[in-house]
Amino acid sequence: MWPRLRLPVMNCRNLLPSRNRLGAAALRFSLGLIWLGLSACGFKASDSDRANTLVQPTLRIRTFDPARAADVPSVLGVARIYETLLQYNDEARPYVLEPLLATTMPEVSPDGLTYTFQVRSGIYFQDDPCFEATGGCGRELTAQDFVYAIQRVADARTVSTGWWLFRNRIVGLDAFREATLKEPGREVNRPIEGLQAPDERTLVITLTQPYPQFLYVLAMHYAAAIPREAVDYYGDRLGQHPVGTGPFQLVSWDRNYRVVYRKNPGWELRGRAESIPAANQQALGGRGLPGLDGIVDLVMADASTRWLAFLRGELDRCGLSQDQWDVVVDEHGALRPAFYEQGIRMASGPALQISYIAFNMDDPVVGTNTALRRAITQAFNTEEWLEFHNQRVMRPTGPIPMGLAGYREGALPFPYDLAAARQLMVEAGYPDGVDPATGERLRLTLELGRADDQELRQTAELIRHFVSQIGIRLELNFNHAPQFYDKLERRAAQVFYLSWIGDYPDAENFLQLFYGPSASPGPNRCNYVNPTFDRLFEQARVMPDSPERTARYEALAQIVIEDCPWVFASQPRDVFLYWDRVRNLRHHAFPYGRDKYVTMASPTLKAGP
Amino acid sequence: MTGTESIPKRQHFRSVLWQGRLTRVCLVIVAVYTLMALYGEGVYQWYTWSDQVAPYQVQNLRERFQPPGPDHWMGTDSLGRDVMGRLIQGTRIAFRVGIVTSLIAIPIGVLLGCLAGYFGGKVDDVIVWIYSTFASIPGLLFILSIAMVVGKGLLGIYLGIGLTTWVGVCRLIRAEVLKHRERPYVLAARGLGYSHARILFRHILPNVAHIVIIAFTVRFPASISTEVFMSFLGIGVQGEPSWGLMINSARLRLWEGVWWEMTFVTLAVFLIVLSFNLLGDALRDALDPRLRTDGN
Amino acid sequence: MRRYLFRRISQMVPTIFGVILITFVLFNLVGGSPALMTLGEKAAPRQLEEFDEVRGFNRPLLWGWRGPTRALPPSDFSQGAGVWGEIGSVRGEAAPGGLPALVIAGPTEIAIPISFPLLPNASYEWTIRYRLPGAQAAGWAGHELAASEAWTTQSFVVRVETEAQRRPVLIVGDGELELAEITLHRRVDHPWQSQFAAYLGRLVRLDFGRSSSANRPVIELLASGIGPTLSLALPILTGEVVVSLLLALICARYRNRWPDRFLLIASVGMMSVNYLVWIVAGQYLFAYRLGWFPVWGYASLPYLLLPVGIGILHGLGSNVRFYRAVMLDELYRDYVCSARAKGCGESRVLFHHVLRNAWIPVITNLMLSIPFLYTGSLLLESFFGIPGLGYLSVNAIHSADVDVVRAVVLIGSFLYLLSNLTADLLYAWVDPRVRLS
Repeated sequence: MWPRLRLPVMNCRNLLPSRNRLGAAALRFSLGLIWLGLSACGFKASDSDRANTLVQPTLRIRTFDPARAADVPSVLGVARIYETLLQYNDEARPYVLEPLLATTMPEVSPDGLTYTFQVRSGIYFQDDPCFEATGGCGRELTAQDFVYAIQRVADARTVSTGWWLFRNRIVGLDAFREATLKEPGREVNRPIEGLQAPDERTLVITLTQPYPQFLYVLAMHYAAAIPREAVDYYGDRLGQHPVGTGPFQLVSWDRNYRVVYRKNPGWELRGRAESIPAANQQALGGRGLPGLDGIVDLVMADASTRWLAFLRGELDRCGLSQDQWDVVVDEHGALRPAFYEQGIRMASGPALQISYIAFNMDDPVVGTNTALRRAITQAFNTEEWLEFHNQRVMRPTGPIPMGLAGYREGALPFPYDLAAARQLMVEAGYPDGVDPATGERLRLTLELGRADDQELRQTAELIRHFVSQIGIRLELNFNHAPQFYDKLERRAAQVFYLSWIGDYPDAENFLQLFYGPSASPGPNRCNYVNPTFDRLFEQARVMPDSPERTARYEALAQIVIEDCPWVFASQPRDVFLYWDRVRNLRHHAFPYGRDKYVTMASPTLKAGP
Repeated sequence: MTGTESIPKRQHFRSVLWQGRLTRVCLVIVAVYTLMALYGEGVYQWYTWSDQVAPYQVQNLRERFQPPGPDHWMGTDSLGRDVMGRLIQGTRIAFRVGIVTSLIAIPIGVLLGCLAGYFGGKVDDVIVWIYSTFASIPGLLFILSIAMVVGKGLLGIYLGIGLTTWVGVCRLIRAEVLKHRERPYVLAARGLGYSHARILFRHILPNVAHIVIIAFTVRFPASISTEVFMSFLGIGVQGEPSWGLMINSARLRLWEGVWWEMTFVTLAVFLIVLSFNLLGDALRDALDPRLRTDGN
Repeated sequence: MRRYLFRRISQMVPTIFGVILITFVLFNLVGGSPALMTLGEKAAPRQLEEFDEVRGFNRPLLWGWRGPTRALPPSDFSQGAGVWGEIGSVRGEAAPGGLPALVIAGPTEIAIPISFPLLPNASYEWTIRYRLPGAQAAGWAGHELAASEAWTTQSFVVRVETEAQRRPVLIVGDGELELAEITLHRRVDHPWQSQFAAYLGRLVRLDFGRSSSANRPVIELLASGIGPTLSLALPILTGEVVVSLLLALICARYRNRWPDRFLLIASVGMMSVNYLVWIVAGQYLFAYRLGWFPVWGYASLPYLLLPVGIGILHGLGSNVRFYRAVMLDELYRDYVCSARAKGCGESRVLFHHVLRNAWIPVITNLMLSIPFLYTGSLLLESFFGIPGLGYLSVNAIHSADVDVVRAVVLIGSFLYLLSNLTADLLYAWVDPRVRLS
């Protein structure tokens, strides 16, 4: 590749003995041996029992600490190892909670403030050296472990990403947090009034005000049972050494490359019986949970390589990217026969997710100019957008996605209309997109959160194309994730493209993204502040599910729609493909922890193209 | 073969270049590419000045992944954009990178090489230290790091490649100047009392200028190749089509048989690099066979 | 020979130093403040300062007496009085150059508005540009500012020893103190007590820092990355040499006939193909289409075969040209002529005579191509998922992980220098003229 330096060639005759040919051969042979030797020691032993192991791609996992994990790949990993009181039923739609580590659904007091749980007996943590008292054997789960978990999230020194879910909810928890702020180094042994474990099997939680979504919060990984022994033993390294009650254990974690889990032997040894939903029973054929002996996650950043590896059978499942869509799926959204015949299957369902273009309401150019925002909303070409995404997304009609109470049926409130958009630009003060102050086209900057994603790049270029039709020049700025979130926190992004995945199946989780007090650095990244909205929201959020609450949700959605702090871009359908040797893979909006139902069929053959 | 420093080199190499059939073809190819790049630059400037969307950026989702045909001679890409138009823009970016990085690297290399070779002593030691340091840093990593510091965009590429590749030129110039320093004409000039600057720039430099030309023919394709890597890795050109970005997006449907974008871009890169390599060989033959590295 | 070795090593030392210097300066320009990145934007200035103090980030960069401190932001009175608002007011255009000046009217004794108490047992340097008309002096942090009608600049060092000195006080008598510039620096005890010196110290102990994306010491990451990189690099090296030598021998054997011509053209062609194209086409053709090799990963030997093959193919073009040149050079020497005259067959001439003389430049070329392997592995590893040093560097660059990139660059440079040294030593061992010159 580079020009070699010209070396003066030697002219020595009696350099080497004439056995040189043998010598050269010997040299080559030994080099070859060295090579083989090094190659051999460089490899990890390939996973034994490959037959019943699920191999799938993942993005980079940041931590296995349940209090700190916030991104989807990390939470998926955490949920395999740690368990919560409640879980989502695998089959029921709309999504319904059922008890996991609790014996039954909790007893709720009439005023909605006190929840009493009975914790199951016979549940053990995985064997780990941190249990020094029992010589490495995992000890039994108690109600105190849940108290400890929530306390740890509240502890300011843990720097948990889940504190916002518990802030101002549980009696005495905020005071506890204050106390931890004052004592940087020391243990804070302060009983929390609202979190009590009167005996080993009973957990009583008292709330400060009614919070109907609280049960969903308890199903999230932040409230998973965690043993105090592990936190004391591993300290900062708990993120690498998870210790939980779950169906899998972490075997190895090569950060940028591969994560290996194996079945928790304790489940079988201790005779832990779990009820199996009817739909999953047949494939498991009588064996207990978990259905897999191991899981291998490969960190493959490149979409094309993932796809090739899946087609060759090296991966058991794979997402379906935008570019491969129309080759794999036909106009009706079904898998094409060519793929079906090879043994590939498809699973899909609506995601509780909205992708949106947000305007920073603090920005002097877009924040105050409602006409400009509405113009951009109406310049968004729905037809082209849907075609680009191959009809696998739908345009949400408001901030509440389809599938949740409060979803607004019918047509888009501000549909695609270039004429109207251009008129609005004139009203906004930018006739033809020209900024009268500079005489040039209005320049806006769109911030994006990933720099190496082809699909995102193309999406951004399409948005730029839409906006150019009304004369605006949109500059694209591809940031790395830390930079991007930094900009959002500092309110330095003018327009940005982001998604919100629902944490639980309640519209409140989406509406709270417009709640004034949640503005940056909270999840209300567009910094939308509207006192009318805030008042109505505060009313609605403490009401249990009912037609009155749904009506309020609809009213709140309408306020947001009028003000246009977001352009509602997509609600996607989650789609993934898998080989038919994998059984019990199903789409679920909250797939955390459902890997225990998955199993592989017929351990001998691997289907190939 | 002794130095031919008194014979004007220009006539010599022009005749040699034109004679070989192969080199003639290469010259034609380079000329065609240059025209393409100029045309691409013209298109870009026109559409920027008149504030419209350029035709190679026009997306047409109905016409995605079209094979080569009467409307689109090289087919369309994943957003329905014309591959040929984007290829020409890629040529423009490649030429920009090649020329600007050479404009950065070569003057630095020549200046430092001349100073080192001519003055010797402490000056030489310092300059040798500087270029040894730069030479020992792994090339691609260094370029990527500079681009990391400077930020995204073409500026990062220009500075990254320019500031790391002056070393080779410097070394060669220094070696030549060292040889020329003891030649009779230089001693004569010194005897006449000319200033150092005059001797260096009016007497010695024209005689080592052939190295600059050779260095350029080596630097140019190397810069293009490096730019292809960098765009592929996501550092560098944003928003404008470049060959690296096109190769990256061409991989998406390769498995299914969408071959046109990949093939045409690969051919484009291949031809220009090959032409420059062959031209470089021919130039070295003509100007200074001692610099050749492949015998013949 | 030993003297030659010492000479070469002593020439290497300044280069290593230069590399360390460059990587240090370059990457200091990149990352923002490590304190901000670790503690977050909401951390108080006092916490940030303590972080910096512990890790030495408030020392001068390379050399010098002064380093930054967060106790007092640089004065910019064009934006208003800022933190001095409680104490004085701004008078526009009073200072030299038409700049606004801060005016503090006396008599007053007031605490200087620093963000947090100065660190104990530390020295600070004040630089003050002021004007104090009248006869009375002012007291600034225990130091006297003499009365002066004209604008004057004073710099003085204060060592914080008592608790009171941690909160410096300003005393102004009757009259007005006008201030154009107030700067506070942290002063180190020794001009060599710089960040660079600390960095050198850490390097000597092989402490390369901590990766911000993987949250592990860099040296651990490097250690785990070396194995896979070697398992890729060594086979590529040996394979390249073996195959190119063979092909070059064929060229020499049939020189100027069609195998030679064909191989020459093919080499030039292969040299001109971009590395990326080799990788993409190779992966597509051999792994996907033909299915001979796995697409991605590092689980066992077959996973290495394709990347190694591609690496060898890429290097083949230029290597064949070079070795062919070397062989041909040898072929025209006298001893070859006399060997032929003696009656040796062509293959004996080639293998026995030419090859053994040619192997010195071959080995030297091998040595010199090691550093290029380091670079080439960047692309190969990230494409095929081999978790080696190249994969590590690409990820580090994408996530702006400064410590890792710095360490990888340093190791690469060291490798380059080492291989150059080995090549030179080999040369010198064989050719006495080199070491005597």
